[in-house]
Amino acid sequence: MPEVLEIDTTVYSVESVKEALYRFSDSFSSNLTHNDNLLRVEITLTNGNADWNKLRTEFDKELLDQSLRERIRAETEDIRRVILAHAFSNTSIID
Amino acid sequence: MSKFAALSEYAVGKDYLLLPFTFAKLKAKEYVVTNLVGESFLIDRDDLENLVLHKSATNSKVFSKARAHHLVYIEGEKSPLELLALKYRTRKRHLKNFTTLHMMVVSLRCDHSCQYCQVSRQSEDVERFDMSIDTANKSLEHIFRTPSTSLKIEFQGGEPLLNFDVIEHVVQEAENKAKELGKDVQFVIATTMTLLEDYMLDFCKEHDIKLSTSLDGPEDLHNSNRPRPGKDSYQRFRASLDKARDVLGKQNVSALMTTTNKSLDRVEEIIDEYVSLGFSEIFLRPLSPYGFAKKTKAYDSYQIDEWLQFYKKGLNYIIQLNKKGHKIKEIYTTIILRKMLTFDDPLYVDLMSPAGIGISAVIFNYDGAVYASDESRMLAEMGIEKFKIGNVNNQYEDIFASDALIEAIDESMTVSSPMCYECAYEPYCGSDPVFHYGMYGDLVGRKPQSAFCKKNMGIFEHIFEIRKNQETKNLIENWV
Repeated sequence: MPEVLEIDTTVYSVESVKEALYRFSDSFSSNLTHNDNLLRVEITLTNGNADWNKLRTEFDKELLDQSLRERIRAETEDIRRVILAHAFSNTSIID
Repeated sequence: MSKFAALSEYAVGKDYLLLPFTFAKLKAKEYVVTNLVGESFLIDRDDLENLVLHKSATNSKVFSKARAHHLVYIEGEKSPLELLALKYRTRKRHLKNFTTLHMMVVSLRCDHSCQYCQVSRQSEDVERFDMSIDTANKSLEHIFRTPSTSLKIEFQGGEPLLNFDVIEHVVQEAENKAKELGKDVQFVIATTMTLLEDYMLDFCKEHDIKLSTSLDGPEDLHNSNRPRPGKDSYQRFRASLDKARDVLGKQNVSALMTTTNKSLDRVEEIIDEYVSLGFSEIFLRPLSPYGFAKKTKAYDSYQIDEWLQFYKKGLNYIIQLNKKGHKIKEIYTTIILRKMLTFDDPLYVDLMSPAGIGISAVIFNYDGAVYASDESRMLAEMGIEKFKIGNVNNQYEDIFASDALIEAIDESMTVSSPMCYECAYEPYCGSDPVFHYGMYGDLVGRKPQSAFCKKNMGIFEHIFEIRKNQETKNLIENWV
């Protein structure tokens, strides 16, 4: 039987959840369904002997980190482009 | 006019803006944060969250540190952006120089039959496995097309000394060309030194050629790893080492080691061997998963976690030796520290983004094939010719703008690879498309399962961890 997580997408974006799931892809595979504000994640452990409760705790922490990362990306995307454009202006690396 | 701006000019009480940065958990609530160019510090998880959510007090120590490390800036400030751009450009300035390291496989023949060796052949068939003068000349034509003003030619094998005539020819031709074009050229021969003769050393001395040799540890381990007729690899190495040092100078003879499963519980003995022979550097290297190493299951004989333990134990031992006054440094740690602490890229192909394959280093094989890296030709020995980027008979432009190379480089950008782009260690790392293709059949690979990722993240974390001790920090940072 797969483990099931239900995540409120007004709290965590689907992208953040996917990023977190990717990081755990050596421990479990997942299947996502999304209805309204509810993301249902069916999880199948790669190793049947793995401690799901422990993994779940780590996954929850990773979700928090991913939402912080998402926030940094959203806030800094434009400035990153400005910095990189400035970095390579007047060089022969790019025309 | 006051010498100092009014207090209102400083950040106190103002809101701030974020600059691009990434973070990774070191342990529990302790995190590593790195800015766009790899400058870093350790931060508590709560402080990190407050910083991102704009809740940090602008007169707090954490905020000052974040501001000094270009994680945040105050609206209207231009210098953090200009400095970041300047540092980023400095970090990537090597791209302009294009290929600097050119490897030439002058012979695939070898007197050794190491289980883990990727490419060598125990054959007398000179015609078949040695590079011809014609191929060497054509390789040189390509080598001197690089825009780089300083280049290095490394002779590889098999055992390159088995085709010393071609080495002599290449060195003399390259010196003439370098003089004509105003370029600087350096030479290295990667050799076990078991077949080293006096006339070869005299030639090396005359042309300022360095030797990069192999030493796997104490006599029994070295001989067991490196079988040859007479079972005397170590004895021959020792005799040649003394002679080579006498003629070329100690600093011009370096050694590399390879970790086999027999090495795993002997790291201290291996390091002791290097110290007792007067080496000031050791490169703790795992087996590469290519060619014969994989075919003979040598690569599968230990897991990367076991190698990481070997590395950590070895590094700790090296640090303790240094504290006792022995000057020896670990090379991989030094490469990474240089990436962490400076903007001067050591050009280590595996740890570059975009990957250094082809554009920092390239290999001309004995048969005229051109590969994107040493590992690429090893992969070709397994029948995977994905990274064969051409042949010496092709035009330079066709080789270096080949689809095979462009695709691999394109896929190697860590800033756009899954998980890498949000990793705190991204500025220090690479994506190594050759490794991932060889192991997982995909240029990018799934990072959570990647042995490359596991190895390097394990090392990055360990380096941050041990630098918490001030004495250790001072000691290892001094290696850079």
